[in-house]
Amino acid sequence: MEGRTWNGNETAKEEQNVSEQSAESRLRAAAGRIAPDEAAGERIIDGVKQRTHGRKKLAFRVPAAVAAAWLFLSLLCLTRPGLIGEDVVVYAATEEHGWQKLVEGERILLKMEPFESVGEGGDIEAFDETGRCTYYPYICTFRLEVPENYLYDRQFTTLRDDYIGESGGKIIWQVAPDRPEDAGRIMQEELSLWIVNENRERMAALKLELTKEDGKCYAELKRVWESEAYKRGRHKN
Amino acid sequence: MLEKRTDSPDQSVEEVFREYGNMLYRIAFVMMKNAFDAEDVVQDTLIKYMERRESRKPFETEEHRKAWLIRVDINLCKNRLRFYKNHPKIGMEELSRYYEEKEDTKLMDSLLLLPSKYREVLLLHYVEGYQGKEIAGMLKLSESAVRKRLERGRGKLRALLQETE
Repeated sequence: MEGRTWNGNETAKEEQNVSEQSAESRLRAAAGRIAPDEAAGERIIDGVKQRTHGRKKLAFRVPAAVAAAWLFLSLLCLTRPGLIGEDVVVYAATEEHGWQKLVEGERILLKMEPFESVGEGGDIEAFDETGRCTYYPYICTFRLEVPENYLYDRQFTTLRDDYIGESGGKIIWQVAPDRPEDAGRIMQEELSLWIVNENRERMAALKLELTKEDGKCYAELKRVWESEAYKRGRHKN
Repeated sequence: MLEKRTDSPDQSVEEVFREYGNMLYRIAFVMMKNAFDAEDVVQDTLIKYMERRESRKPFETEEHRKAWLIRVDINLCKNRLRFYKNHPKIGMEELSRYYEEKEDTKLMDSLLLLPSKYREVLLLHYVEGYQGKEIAGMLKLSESAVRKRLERGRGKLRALLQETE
């Protein structure tokens, strides 16, 4: 009897091993099929190139004359009417003026609304033993307006412990408590937000510069770019 | 005249994407459960890679480079997951576009239902072929924690698959 039970358990174990092995190989094969398609691959590479080009310090590699010509042409392009976005509009929640439309080059102070609380006792540490932020006392909010038939290509970035991302047509900046070692530091990050058509082709983009200084949050619209196709489509509407 | 660099960052990011793009995308897709975020995460991972290159911090070996990319990829996913926990997004990417077999869709659906801490170790072990010690190094966990997560993850996956049968 004992022997039979033992054998039975062994058989069950063997069967389980076989079924686990088969599930593992199925998992390997199934997950292996997940891959970006060609268009996604191109989007990824293009995105990396565009975003890193914006961050790189080019001065020491580009000859001065080329840099000057490039600067002149950029200024010429930026001042041409019609090149700056007209339909892609960002509003930020502010203490003073409510929803305030962001204008290129104008830095505004954001309203910091209470978000997470540490509870009545206030005994939760802001940072855990691994140094990770555990709660977010404030959020700043931006509202976006884009023409019909266009979508946001979800974008996300971090600024020290803060998270900034798109959620339900709004940009939420989840603000972490200040770390003592950051006192007096100015922290800055850029968020690029893409506007895409139904085929996920990038039609327009806007870049927000987000700054945290002395516990206050500021935003500045750095640039709105619209593709030729987007502009043509907009005028048709 | 400046000497032309043979390993320009542009070339390099394409090479890295060719070599590891599918793996990074696969990990990001399983972690984020949708193609939009997966694409963004891969893009951000490659940007971090470029920044590291710019700061001239070399990798010791090819394995070191690969493990670093996986770690950054997973950490960027975790940042997003923490954000989306508070600000949920709508919809879940349809997996069926990758699979013709219903069984495979079911298996992947079940994997995606697991908490992310189990998803990441199962994927790194069974799909990417890493051992417990290597996963522990990548995720900054102890080896025993990885073993436990693998064991529990397997159990939960099995239970989910039985539920749906």
